Amino acid sequence: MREKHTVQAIGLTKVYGSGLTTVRAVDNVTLEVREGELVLIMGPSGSGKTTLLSMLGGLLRPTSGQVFINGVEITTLSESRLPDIRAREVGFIFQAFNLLSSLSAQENVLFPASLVPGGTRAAQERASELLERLGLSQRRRYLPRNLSGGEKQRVAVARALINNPRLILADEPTGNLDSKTGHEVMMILHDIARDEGRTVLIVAHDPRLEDMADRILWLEDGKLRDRKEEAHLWVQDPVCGMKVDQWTATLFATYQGARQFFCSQRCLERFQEHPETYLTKRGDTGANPK
Amino acid sequence: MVRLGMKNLFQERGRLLISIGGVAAALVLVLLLEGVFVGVSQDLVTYPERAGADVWVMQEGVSNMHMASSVLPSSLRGGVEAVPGVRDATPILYVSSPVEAGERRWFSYIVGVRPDAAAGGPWAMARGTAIPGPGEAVIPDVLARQGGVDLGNTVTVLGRQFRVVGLSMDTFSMVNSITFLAYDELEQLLEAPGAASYFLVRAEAEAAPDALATRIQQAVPGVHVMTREAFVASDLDMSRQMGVDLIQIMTWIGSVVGALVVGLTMYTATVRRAREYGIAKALGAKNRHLLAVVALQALVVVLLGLGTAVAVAYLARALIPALAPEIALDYPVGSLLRVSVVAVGIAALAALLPAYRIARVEPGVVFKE
Repeated sequence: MREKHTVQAIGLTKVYGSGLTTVRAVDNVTLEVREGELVLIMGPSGSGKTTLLSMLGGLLRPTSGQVFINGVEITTLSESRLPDIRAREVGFIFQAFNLLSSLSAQENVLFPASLVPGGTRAAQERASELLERLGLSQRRRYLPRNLSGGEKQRVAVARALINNPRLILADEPTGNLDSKTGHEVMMILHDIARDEGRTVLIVAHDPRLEDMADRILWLEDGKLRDRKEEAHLWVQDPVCGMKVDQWTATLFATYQGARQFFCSQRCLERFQEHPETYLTKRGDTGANPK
Repeated sequence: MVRLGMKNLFQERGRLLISIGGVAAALVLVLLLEGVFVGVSQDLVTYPERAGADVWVMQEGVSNMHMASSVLPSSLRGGVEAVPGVRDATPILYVSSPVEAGERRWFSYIVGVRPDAAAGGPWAMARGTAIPGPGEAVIPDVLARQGGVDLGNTVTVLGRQFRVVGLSMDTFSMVNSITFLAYDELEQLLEAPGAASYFLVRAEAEAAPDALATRIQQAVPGVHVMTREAFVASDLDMSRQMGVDLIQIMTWIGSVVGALVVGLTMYTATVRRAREYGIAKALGAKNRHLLAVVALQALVVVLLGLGTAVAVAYLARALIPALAPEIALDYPVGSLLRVSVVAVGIAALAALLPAYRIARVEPGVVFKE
């Protein structure tokens, strides 16, 4: 059964600290993602999304549980074998782009190929094709500092694809991009899954990405579950009264056992200064469901 | 990975130049010290090399000139000259003593030469007479310049004043000089009538020095006979033995300084690029890939430093005769090779510190903003 899934996690758990300071960042997560599927993992800040992605990509060892990539269990591999898996089987895309500053766009794209024996020579043509396809052929010799945010992320996408991995893991790929550029990058990822049959797993806050995903998973307090059918769960910002989508809100605070959600950092700070003022004024004692 | 290493290295040119400069400074220190030492050693044997003798005859048990003393009866001259193949044998008297000129003193070989000396006198003159008479001295031109004396002025040797009648060339270095006095006068000063220190033997054209030395050794009892080459080599060996420890200490100091400069510079660069090394690891680079990058960077820095050091050292050798004629510099192939080996050692040492840091970089840094 495992062979049908590009990535599979079974009972994946990551615990930080011990005793009173124990934090279960990821708690017994089981997950299967099929070939060609684009899956979006959403959840509030600190819910364990990045920790989960790190373990799925072999960047972090779980406390317990198993991860299979293309049928190979990576959780039991030695430290010396994991880099090979990351180089050959997984393509990474990060919010901060993470291009190597001294290398040109084309050299960045070729970098993962240089980690595979005989890879660079074979990858030259493919790098040119990818850069062409992503509209970067005129920028191939540019250093990252001379590229726009969108261009950097497209270089990162090309880099993720250079070794033909079947699994693409993306952490907030649109997080540092404006909405138009972010949409372009998402369309590229969508095409990668649809046209090339690659599995794309995206961790994101951005609700605009939901329409492109085949499946949306919700991670909260380290636990994974299928997204509820309602597209949004609206609650009220206690400071300004604005409607906020609880599913995607990243700004929140817990007061007297109830979680409050905010539209902006400013509202959050004002609430934290005098929380009782806003709850009393609105006749609200913390009605938002946690 | 090679490309990444080189691009990272050359992207930060300021740091690169500091590293190269640090290594070059440390290696120049080692090279110059050894160069001066070798040059000085070479200067010490200038007299036996250039005095004109093919074969040296000295007291039994003596095998060099520097810091040595040899006493022979001058009457042996006839016996030496009677050996087939000997063209002539010139006795010299020799003692080490300071020479005073003005307010300054210099260590000097005091050589007594006869008026008819076929060998043993100055080999190149700047001005004046080559062979001194009674009450006269021939001193090095550099010594005269430094002491503020000229022809006709006096210098003090062995407590007696001598009038300068000649200024010789190539007879002065920072550790030694050669002063020539009249043989008979030095004989009196040393209270050694009928004595000679060495016989300087010139060979007939067809006589091989090796064979001639053997024949003299067999024919004249109570002497030690050496060819010029053997005598010079013996003196060089003696002077080098005296400086080997110092050279070794300085080589170690230079190596440690060089390794620290490169190591710390590279460590700083590694820390600054820790995130990028983390990215490389996340993308599939192994520790050994990144360690190779650091080792390569260290090697390139050290080799560029070595090249700079050698260039500076040779530039110094070209300029120093004009700026400080008393200093002699020489870099034998052996010392260049040794410094090269030291440089590679510096690179290996310098790579250790950043290697330790790289091994601890977590690929998870890719998720941090």
